[in-house]
Amino acid sequence: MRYGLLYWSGCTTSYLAPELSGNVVKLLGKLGVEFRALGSREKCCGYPLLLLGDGGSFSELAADVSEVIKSEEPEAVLTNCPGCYRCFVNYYPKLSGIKVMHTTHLIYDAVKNGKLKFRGGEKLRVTYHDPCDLGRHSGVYDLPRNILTSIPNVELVEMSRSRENSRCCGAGGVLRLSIPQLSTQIAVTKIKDDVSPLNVDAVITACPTCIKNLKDGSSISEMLYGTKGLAIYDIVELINMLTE
Amino acid sequence: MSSWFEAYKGEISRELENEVLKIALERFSATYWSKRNAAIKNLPYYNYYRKRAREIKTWSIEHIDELIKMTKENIESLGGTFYLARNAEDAVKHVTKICEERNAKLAVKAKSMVTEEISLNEALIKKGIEVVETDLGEWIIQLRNEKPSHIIYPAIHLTTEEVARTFSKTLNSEVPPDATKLVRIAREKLREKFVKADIGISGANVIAADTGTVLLIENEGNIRFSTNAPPTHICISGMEKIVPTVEDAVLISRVITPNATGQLMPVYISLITGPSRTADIELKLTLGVHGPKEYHMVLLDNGRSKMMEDPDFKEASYCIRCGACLSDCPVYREIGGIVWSHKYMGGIGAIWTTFTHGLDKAAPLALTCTTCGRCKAICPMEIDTPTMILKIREKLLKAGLTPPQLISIAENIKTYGNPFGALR
Repeated sequence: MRYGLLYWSGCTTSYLAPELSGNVVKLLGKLGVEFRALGSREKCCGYPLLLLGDGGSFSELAADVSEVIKSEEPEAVLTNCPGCYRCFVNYYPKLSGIKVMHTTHLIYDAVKNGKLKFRGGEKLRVTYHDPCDLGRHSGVYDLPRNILTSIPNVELVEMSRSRENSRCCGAGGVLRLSIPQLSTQIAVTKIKDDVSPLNVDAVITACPTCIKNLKDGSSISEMLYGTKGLAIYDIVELINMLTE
Repeated sequence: MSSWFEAYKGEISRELENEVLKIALERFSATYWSKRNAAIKNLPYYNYYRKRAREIKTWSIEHIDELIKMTKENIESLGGTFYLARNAEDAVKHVTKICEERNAKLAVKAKSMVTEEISLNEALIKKGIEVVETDLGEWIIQLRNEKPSHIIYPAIHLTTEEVARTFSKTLNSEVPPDATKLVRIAREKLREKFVKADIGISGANVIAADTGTVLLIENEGNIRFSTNAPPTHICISGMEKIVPTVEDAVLISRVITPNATGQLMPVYISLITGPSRTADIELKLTLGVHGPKEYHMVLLDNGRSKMMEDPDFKEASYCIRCGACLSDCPVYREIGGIVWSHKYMGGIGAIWTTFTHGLDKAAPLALTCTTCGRCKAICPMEIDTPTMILKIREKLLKAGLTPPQLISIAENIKTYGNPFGALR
């Protein structure tokens, strides 16, 4: 099937977590989904401009980005970045008619249609961190949970603050760039107060920025408070690890 | 121009390393979250209450002029006075005048964020009037010469041990870090103040227009004392607190309480409708029996009209001041509300500060927000603070108040196509 899919990796993935876009590409390969990417023509979606209060520059940028995307005539744009996802869905009127998907949508469809073959293996106890842009701001709470609970050897446990009550990783609103010390401290508290009582092996999330902050938070919490060492995975990474 | 943000980041850094604050906020965060959830679970009609509360507030803000007029007429007909203050200066002047005309030496106060907003204590003290805060938390921070760090829990940045240290210093004798003993001291020290006070000053949680009734929520009993023992009661409140009826006011109190303190009902709700009165002798109306003879209501505008008229920010005036947004905010959890405030704290505080004290004072507050939406999710009124924060950031940029460090992120996007300034 020709998917007409355009993969949009987003700045954080491209520059700070390129291995994650590798993982998305690998997953698309496993699923036999054809796709295209913009390469060097992919610019920032402009979401940080909105967070900085620069609506004027955003509109100009969004108009350009819309043109570039539309020139590819995709049926759908796929991104693993909740920030880009929220931005396209809510602030890109010119993309109307093009479906915008987050990787959790893609994986959920694949799981539902039996397209993924899970390998058995050791039991993995995990919790799920709701990225604010995907959860509270876009209402995607159930998809990642449904994916995780459908994996045979994965056990999902919830934090006391989850879904709409979830504690932000601390990186939102450009705080990771503007006041990094505070941003990291929020992640440390998240690991120490919300995650460590659950005694999980890994935190699964679906956002490259959350992963960066939670990894920082986890290593500091391990060092300062002796909390257990944790793996922090994007759900795409986890799926690749556990499927053939 | 850049220095203020760097200096502010320095203050945040110091708060992050403040060991007392760290312990205090850790204790608070865990306790609040479990108590509040338990209370909501035990309120089967909570969702009805909060949805109705939003309807009431929405209607009230649309009809605020009518409600103010009704409140004024009712209070005056009860034998009280009513004053609508345009700004902080106007309100302070009016209250000071009332105190001076009565030759007041001592004023006792119930907790009131509006009096913090207008710096009333400082003005009265300057006139030689002794001002005593009677809410325990407020009294503690008054003894320490600090500002409140939370609208519900003014001294939540302090541990029991730290409060004991403050009391020991004030009393010049060693006080153990034991909450029961600390409360005992407050009870003894404040009791005489209530009786001697010439003026009692309170705020208002809600005001009912159709009767001119003020609703006050508390647990300690200090509000009852402050509004009952002195011969004169001054109630000072923001004008957005008015709702049409007493029933509406009570309904709103049912929403405030579980979110503020995790209780189903507070220990005391006072409904005050004018000065104390009797007609027991020949049905002759006489004011001031055991309660105050004089009752003065001061309603404060101070930017509120502008907020209510602004379609982008009107929603902030629906705030019922339960403090839930602060109590479960991830940023508040780390730095509390001393650094993250001018007078009002946190995200909703950034919106309020813009209108009450100006955009420059709101700048640091608005820039210390992850826009995560936790506040909107927990807010019983569903106030969309994160969206308003972004509107404030727009104003900051236009006013040239955005720090260069943040401008450079925007410049990177425009020049390099990514926020990091990386070359592709």
